[in-house]
Amino acid sequence: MIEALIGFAAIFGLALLRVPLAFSMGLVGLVGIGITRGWMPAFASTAQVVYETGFAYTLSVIPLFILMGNLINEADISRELYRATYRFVGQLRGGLAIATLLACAGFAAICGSSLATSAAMTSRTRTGQ
Amino acid sequence: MNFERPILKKLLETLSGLLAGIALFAIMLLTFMDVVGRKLLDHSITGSLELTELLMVVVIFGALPLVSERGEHVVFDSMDPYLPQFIQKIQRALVHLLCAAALLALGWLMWKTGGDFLETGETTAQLKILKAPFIYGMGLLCAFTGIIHLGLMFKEQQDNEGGVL
Repeated sequence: MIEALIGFAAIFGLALLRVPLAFSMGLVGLVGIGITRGWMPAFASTAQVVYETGFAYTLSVIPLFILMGNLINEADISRELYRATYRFVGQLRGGLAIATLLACAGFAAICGSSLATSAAMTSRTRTGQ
Repeated sequence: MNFERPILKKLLETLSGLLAGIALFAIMLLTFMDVVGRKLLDHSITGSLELTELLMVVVIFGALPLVSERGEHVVFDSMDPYLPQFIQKIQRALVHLLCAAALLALGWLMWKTGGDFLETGETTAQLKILKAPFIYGMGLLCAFTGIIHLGLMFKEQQDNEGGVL
């Protein structure tokens, strides 16, 4: 229990010192296993994790969704979507905000990833607003 | 000397981008053909799952040098307003050094793991593709990314450094 708390504290400490999250989490994991279980198992399990994460089939949807979001954005479908929803609810009070929400919902329905949606729609809606 | 860096940078962006981009496009095409084949022709592509897995390795590790070079790793910059300029400079150099050390060590570790895989001759289940070259590639690209971090240590920081959370 104490080890876990120290580990969390170390991760946040490193992250606040501007170490990228990937490296702060990886280093703390490695050093933690190294201290509690020994260094050889720590290196072996690090290699195992990197290997398994790299070969993860389920992860392949993430870059594909982001690619699709970018294609939709480049094809200006996102702008059209925004314009359409604005025509639809724009005259209501707070219409711009509702239109933004609806456009984002539409985009999310096409691409299925909230991360890709926020990445693609942020620049679009900012110019619109 | 002044003209060397942009050329190197351009070369890196082209090579790394092409590698990851082609792999991503291949995954897209493969998935598309696989689904079309399964739905319409009742015949999926043999080993498409494994091919996707292998290509994912290329996508992730091919793009890693680019992510580092553009400073797009996820970082907390909440402390930045409270630290004076010169401390930030030292901090950035130290962080790059730490990242470089971690990545070089990871590269060495993956290279060693690749050796183990080559010895046992482990292949994918269906298509019998040797896994070792991909793991060697992981190691090489990790080490390469480490070298990029070493190079960034001595460079003025860009404004857009740090990914957005």
